[in-house]
Amino acid sequence: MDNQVFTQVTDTEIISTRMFNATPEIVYKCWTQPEHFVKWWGPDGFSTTLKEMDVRVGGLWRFVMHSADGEDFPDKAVYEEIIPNEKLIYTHGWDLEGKENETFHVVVTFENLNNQTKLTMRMKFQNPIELERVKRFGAVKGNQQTLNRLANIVKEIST
Amino acid sequence: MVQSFSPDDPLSLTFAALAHPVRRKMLSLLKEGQSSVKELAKPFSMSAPAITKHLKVLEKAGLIVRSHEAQYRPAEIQMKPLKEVDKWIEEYRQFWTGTFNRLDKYIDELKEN
Repeated sequence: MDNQVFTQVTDTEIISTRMFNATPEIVYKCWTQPEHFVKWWGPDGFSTTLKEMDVRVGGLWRFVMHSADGEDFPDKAVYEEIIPNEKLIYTHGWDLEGKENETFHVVVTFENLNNQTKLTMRMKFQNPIELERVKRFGAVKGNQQTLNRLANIVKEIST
Repeated sequence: MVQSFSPDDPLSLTFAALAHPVRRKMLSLLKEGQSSVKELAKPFSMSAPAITKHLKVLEKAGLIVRSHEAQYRPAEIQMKPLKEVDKWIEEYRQFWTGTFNRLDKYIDELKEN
């Protein structure tokens, strides 16, 4: 079985991958068509109310997730790039009126591997990390550990 | 999502502080016990002000504390922020593991119909 979620964490991103036993067309449809989307979004016990799903560049995607214990999480995303059956890029944040709402980038790719789909979801942080990276101290010798995995480091340091 | 992303919330501070390989290396060194700035600077070819700057970032994120007792102000690692990161990553993982499992099941339903 190849349906485990693999999660890795780099300096700027959290990346999860998972295989699905269906073509990218089907998996993409589940992400982008309202009647399908509400059927699966959120872990067990969650339900989702879709408010808006305008799958066009600049279009809004708004929904409220309801947790099992009755908490509501209103979400708002704006589509930034759409390649049907291949890729979705959106900025994601809370759907809160009047509040300055810091968002993060999500890139979802749907890759066809022998008519199965490898789904990759990258969540890119929008905080000083990127700046910090390109800014100073580029000259640290041999220390470009781009494959450094934050999760491992955290585990290692905290255990 | 289950967590907010305000740039100055504690978790963002921790992530930002951990974003630099030098600072992670420093934390690894501090795992072995408290250490002076001089000792911490040893593995890196950089100036004392640069080292101090990194220490300040770690200090601001609560990942280290620096003693005022001795003149060389040894730094000591603090575990709490790291455990918060670990917890957050675990929540994230659980959220998407659960969600993707549901998607998987739903796709099976779609195929049957």
